[in-house]
Amino acid sequence: MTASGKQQWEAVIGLEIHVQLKTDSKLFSGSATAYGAEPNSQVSWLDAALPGTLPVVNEQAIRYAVRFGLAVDARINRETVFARKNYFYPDLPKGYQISQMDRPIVEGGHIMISLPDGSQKRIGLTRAHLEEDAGKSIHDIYPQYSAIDLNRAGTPLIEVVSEPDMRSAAEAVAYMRQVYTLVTHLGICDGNLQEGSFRCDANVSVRPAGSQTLGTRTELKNINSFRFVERAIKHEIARQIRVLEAGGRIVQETRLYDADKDETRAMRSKEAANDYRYFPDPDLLPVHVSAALIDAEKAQLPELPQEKINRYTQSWGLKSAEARILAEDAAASAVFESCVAAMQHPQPVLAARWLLGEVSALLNRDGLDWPALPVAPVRLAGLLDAVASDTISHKTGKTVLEKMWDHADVTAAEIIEREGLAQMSDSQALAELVDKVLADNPKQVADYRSGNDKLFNFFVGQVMKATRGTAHPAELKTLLEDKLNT
Amino acid sequence: MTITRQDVEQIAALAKLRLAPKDIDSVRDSLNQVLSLVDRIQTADVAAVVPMRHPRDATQSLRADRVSESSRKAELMALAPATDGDYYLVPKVVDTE
Repeated sequence: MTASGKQQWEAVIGLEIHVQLKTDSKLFSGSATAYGAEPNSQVSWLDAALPGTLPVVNEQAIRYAVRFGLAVDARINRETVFARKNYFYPDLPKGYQISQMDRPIVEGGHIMISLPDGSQKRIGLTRAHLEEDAGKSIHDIYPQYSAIDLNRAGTPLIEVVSEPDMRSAAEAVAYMRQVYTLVTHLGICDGNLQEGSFRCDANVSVRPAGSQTLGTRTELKNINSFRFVERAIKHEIARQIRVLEAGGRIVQETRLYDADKDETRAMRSKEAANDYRYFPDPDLLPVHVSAALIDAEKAQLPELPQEKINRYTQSWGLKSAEARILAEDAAASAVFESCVAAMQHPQPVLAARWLLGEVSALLNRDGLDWPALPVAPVRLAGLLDAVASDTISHKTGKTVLEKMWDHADVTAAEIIEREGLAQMSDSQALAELVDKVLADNPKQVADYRSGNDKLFNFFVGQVMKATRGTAHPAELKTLLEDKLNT
Repeated sequence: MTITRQDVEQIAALAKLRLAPKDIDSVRDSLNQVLSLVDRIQTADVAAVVPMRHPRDATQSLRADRVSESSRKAELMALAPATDGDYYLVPKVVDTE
C-alpha cells in the first residue's frame, strides 16, 4: 500500500511473461533457433510466410509447455488449439501470429513467492499458452527504413499470464524471479535475459485501499531485467497516483519504460490499438496431448526449487536464506550438491558457507557465473575436507582456494603438501615457537602484562608469520594465554 | 451490422494502408456487402450444434525437434523489394507516440 497525502492507494499488478523455449528448431518449421546467427540466415519458406507452406508442430515445445504446467500444478488441456492473432507489423511476415486463445495448453496453477517478512504468498496463474515469436525490427540503422531480421520469427514461446494478484513492485519482481528460477530449473528455457529469452509485460492499476473494483490499467511493455521491472512498476504506480490525486483519469494504454530517463511513456492508446480478430488456425488441427506424453514429463520432472530448499534446510541443516540462494540458481545448486557428494565426510553447512562466501567472492571478483567456475566441485570437495578435518585453517583455506583458482588440475592436498600449509600438529614445536616470539619481544610482553590487551593479537600475528599461517588458531590462543598470564 | 466511413479509415490505419478519400465510400460498400452475407449466416439456428474446432476430424501430427531446414537467405532476399546487406528494408514503422 502506498500512502500519499490522505488517501491510501493499493496497486494491482498482473504479469505476462514470455518464456522462450529451449528447442533446437522453431515451433512450426525445421529452421534453427540459435541466437546470434547471421541475420536472416535461419529463415525457411514457412518462416517467411511463402504461400503454400504449412506449419507442423514441434513436439518438444508441447512437452516443455506440459512440463511447465505440471510444475505449477495447472490443468493440462488434453486437446489444445492454435489460433491466429492478426496484426500488421513487418517483423511478422504472415500478418498474424500463431498463438492460442480458447483451449490454451495450460490453464490455472500457481506460483508461491516469499515476502520480505518470510511469509509465502500464492500468485495464481490464469494460463500459459504456446505461441511463436516475431522477428526483430531494427529502427536505428537506417534513417529512412526499418531493418528486418526474421531469424527469431517462429521461435517457440510460452506466455505465462498471472492473475492480478500482486500488490507491489517488490511482489512483482519476486514473482518474476520465481518463474525464472522455475523455467531454468525445468530446463525449458536458457534464461538468457540479455538475449531476450525471458521477457515481461506488466499490467498495472491503482485503486483506493479497501476498494474491490479494479482501476483502469496500463500495460508496460517488454521489460527484460528484474531491476527494470521493479523500477518501471514503481514509477507507473506513482504516476497513476499523481494523476488520480490531481483529479485526472487513467487512460488505458501501452507504456514503454525508458531506463535512461527512468520514466514510463505512452506508446499507443488502446482506442487506436489493434483488434486482433483471433480465430482458430485452419492450417493446424487441434493437438491431442496424450496421457503417455504427460506421464513421461511427470516422470522426468526434476526436483523443484521449493522442494530443494526444504531438503537443504530440513535434512542438511542450512539456514533458509542460504538454502534459497543455492536452490534457486540451478548451476549453483549443482555445484553445491556435487561438492557435498564428493566430500569424504560430507558437511553441507560448511560447503554452503564456502560456496556463498569465499567462492562467490572470487566469482564476483572475476565477473564469472557458476557455470564458469574454474575449480571443479570435486577439487573444492578436497579443499573442504582439509578444512573440515582441521588440516588447514579457514584462512589458509582461502589461500589454497586462490591457488586452485589459478591452476587447473592441482588438488588442495597437493598445494597443502607442496607449500607445507598443514596446521602444525606438533604441540611441542608450537610451544617452542611461542617461547621464542615472547623472548624476542620483551618490550611488548611487558606492555601487555601492564594492561595493553590489544597486544595479544600482535603475538598471534608474530607466531602465524613464523609458521606461515599453519599454527592451529585455538591451540595457539590457549598457549599464548597460558604463557602471557603466568 | 454495417460499417461506416470512420470504420473504414480505422481499419485502413491498422493495416497501414493509405486510402484515397474518394475510394472510401466504395470500399465501405464492398465491405458492407460481405457483412450482409455474414448477417445471413448469423440467422441460422445453431443452438443444437456442437462447435467444431476443425472441419477435419483428425488431430495434428507432431514433428521431432530437429533442424531440418537450411538457409534460404539468398532466394528470399532476391524476392524482397528492398534489402541491404543482411537485412530486409521496410518503410519506417515505429509506433507513434
